[in-house]
Amino acid sequence: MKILFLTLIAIVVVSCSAKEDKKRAVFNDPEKIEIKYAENFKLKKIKDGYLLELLEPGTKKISQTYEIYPAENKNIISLTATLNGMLAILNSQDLLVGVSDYDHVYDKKIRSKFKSKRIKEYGGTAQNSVEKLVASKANIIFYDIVDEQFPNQEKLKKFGIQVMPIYDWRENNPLAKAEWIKVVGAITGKMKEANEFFDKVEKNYNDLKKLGRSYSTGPTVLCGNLIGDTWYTPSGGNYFAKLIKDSGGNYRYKNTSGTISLTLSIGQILKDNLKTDIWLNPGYRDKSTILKTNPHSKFLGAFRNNIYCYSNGMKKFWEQSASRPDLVLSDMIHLFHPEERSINHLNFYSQIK
Amino acid sequence: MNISKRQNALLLALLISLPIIAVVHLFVGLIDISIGDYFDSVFSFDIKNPDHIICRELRIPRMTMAIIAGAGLSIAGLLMQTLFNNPLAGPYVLGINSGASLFVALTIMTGIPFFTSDLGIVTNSLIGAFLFGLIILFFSTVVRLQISLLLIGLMLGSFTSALVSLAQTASNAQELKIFTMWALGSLQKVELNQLPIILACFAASLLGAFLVVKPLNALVLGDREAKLLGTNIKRVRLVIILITAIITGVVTAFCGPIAFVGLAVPNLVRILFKTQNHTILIIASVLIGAMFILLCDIAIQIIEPHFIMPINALTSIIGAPFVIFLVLHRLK
Repeated sequence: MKILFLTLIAIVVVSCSAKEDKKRAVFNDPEKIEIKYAENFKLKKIKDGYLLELLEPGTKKISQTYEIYPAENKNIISLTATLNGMLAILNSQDLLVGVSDYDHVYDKKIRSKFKSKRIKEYGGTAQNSVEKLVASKANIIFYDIVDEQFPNQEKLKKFGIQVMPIYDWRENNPLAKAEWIKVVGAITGKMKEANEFFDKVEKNYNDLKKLGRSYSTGPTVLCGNLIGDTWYTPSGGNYFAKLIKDSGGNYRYKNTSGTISLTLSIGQILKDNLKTDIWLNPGYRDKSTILKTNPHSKFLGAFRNNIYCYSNGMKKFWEQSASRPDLVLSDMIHLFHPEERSINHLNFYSQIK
Repeated sequence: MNISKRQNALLLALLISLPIIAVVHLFVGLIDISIGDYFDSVFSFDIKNPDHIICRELRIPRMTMAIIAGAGLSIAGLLMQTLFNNPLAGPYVLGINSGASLFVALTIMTGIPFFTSDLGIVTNSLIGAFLFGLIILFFSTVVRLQISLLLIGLMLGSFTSALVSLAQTASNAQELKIFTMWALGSLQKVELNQLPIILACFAASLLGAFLVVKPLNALVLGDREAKLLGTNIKRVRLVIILITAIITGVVTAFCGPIAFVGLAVPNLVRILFKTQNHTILIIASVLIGAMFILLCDIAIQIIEPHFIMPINALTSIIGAPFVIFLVLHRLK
């Protein structure tokens, strides 16, 4: 009996170490995938798959490494709208078995799959139970929360469920956010399509950028809104400040440093922006709601008839804006330079009334 | 009214200090504002001048609201402590804060049409506060013992906390943040045109408090003694709860919950004035309560460039140790 037990242990140890050696051999000289703008991930080609390295935003050191084998990714739960949008672009919605909330989904195919019960709701990251996720038979879960650790990550691993963050929101360049489609290309095994799509977006974006920057003067722009007593607005190094610059707008806080949001008081905002021409992204669909949460905003010069938000389909914006910065830029050029004839429609934005 | 020289001097000092602190409050802030700006903003307001807007629409309402919140919550706390004959009672024991919190949570974090309609956070908070005020008023006519009413108030609080937790579980990050920020309190949301209604509610509550001074003084002796002195306990209880509901409801609706003021200030007043005369206690609570919130808000504005401190957090940071001190002091 003892001998049999020892033999069994020996077989397990040998087989495990053999598997480990095989993987290491594969990783010896992986081929790098070209990443032009994104600063927070690296992607390498390995046998039958990809090696994804997530980098720390500050130090650019590798914080997490994932082996991605597209053939294994049959059932995906996506708790982030960005991933839903990117899966739709690559026509890979069939891989989805779960989303966070049906009401947040824009893509028609995902919605119809939800109606036919092939896709289920799994709520926010914190609301998921291990059993519910195991029962989904998903093999990979994508999330976008700030915390690095997904709740019960280790337990889920024991059931063969990998969890992976989509950190496009950490990028400080609009095209870098879009470049995360290459990660989705790796996951779905559609890297060629992802590269082609990104190249198209990059070209569109750069063409529009040339157009936007050709205007010597642009309107002054304010962003964001109050949450509690604090007005959150992108700082000068944020991707949204870059979008405003590329579209020929004059962002009021363009000279501030950093990439995260600035936190300003309503007094400061009023002092700086009584004459600002355009107010973007107040986060609400109508003025009456804005006034309820931020009554003093009525004194802003832009309040009367120059507030714009991505209210021409908020779900559409959350799903597509990361992968289509060219469309966001197009909207902004249209808003800032209505005289520009080559752009005659808005994709995401509309006027708040 | 019997008033000692010491009490007289203390009241005089408070009466002089309050306007000075209020004026200091007007001039604290990130943006430099001159006296001339204040005069102009009141007498020749120019809507295109940012300094005028800051004076008239931000700083004057904020200062007024600080005074009303501090004074109002302190009166409410004083009345509750006398009614329940318990120095650790405060406006929150009636569950009025909880009612406001519940309705605000439902407004922000659920898709229920009634709550997400045009009513807004302030109106829904007012409805919640008054609804729970009415519930507690109803119970006050049913139960005989003050302690029962206290327990009912606390249970209403626990019940609503559970419902708020449920709403929080189902909400997204943005909604959670908005609710959390509301729960941390703010004196900045009040608008100039809302001040008359707030002032009217405060004045009515203050008047009501002065009208029940005699029964309040009798209640200090205990229910039985108060009855023997001719106090109609049921009616007095009703009036006290009504006053508390109005003032707590209005302050919570416009500023969010502000903790510990109603609990700490009346106790501080009793320690300083060493009297059970409610005329003195009410006047002193109004003055000290107003000064306390004004000083807290001055501190908040001074540290604002480095750190954003919500009013409820600061009052709790100061108030909680004071209450612990109070409990330890009494136990000795």
